Amino acid sequence: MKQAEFVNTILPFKDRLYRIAKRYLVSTDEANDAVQEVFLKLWKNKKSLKKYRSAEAFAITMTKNYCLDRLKSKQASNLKIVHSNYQNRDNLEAKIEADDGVALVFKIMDSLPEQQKIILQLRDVEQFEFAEIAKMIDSNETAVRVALSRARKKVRDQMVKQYNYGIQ
Amino acid sequence: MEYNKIKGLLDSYFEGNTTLAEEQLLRDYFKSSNVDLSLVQFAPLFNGMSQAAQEVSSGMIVLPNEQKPNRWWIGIAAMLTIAVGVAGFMFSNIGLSQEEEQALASLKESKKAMMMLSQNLNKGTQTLSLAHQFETTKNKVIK
Repeated sequence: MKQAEFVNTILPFKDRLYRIAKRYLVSTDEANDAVQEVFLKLWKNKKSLKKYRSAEAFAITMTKNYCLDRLKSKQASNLKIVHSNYQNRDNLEAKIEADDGVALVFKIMDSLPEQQKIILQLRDVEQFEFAEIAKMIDSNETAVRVALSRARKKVRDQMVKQYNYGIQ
Repeated sequence: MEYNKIKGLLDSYFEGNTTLAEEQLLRDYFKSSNVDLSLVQFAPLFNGMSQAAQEVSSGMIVLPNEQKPNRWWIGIAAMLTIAVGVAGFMFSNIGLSQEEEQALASLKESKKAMMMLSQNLNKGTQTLSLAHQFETTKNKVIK
């Protein structure tokens, strides 16, 4: 596989990988680093890339695993994951979070367990089918559905709580 | 859109039973300006998700330069060189009896030399056999 061909296969989902990485790692810089790392790994394994039916699903699984590894090593070295990019966020993000309700959704999403977080991201943001998600996170459709329902309800309950509190 | 339909979709959404198309319907509904007041609290959830999907990476992807075509050439060339070298060596070993011929020639030479030596030696022993004639004549005389 030539570099141009590789870039053409992988580049279309660069932003998607970035969003997933950012959901895990929070920081923009770290998410960009993660995407770069995943691309390098894919480039090195470009021969095996052809074996996978969907390069995208493979890339997403890789991103997920890479981010979890990063989080684990951070925990091991006792570093706290902080929103280090609050000051220099790009405009779009600032616009998103200007909306208090939306900001709250992301805050609640951050507090979800890793599995629920990634499922919610893959379904409600990236809009994948259950079967695809199940393959990406090495699970089955029923489990994905259950985790997704739990995640959505958790976000809803937290939001309703906050909403009612705000009204009072 | 009728309130009841959206309410029903919302319920199955939270149960994880909506299809992607139905979820798109919900997103579209909450994006619109005429959201029912009792449902407006869910708007940030759907708007947030659609906004999050628009976020793009600002980072550049740097891939190491590929030198694969060159290496491929060099590999083939190296293999050919080695193959030619080995083949040449093998063939020349069969054809080249120069050393072998030399060895054979020197073997012949040394054989000839050995034969000459042994012939001379035999001549010597033949003449030596006459020596006992002295003994017999001496015995005749002295007795």
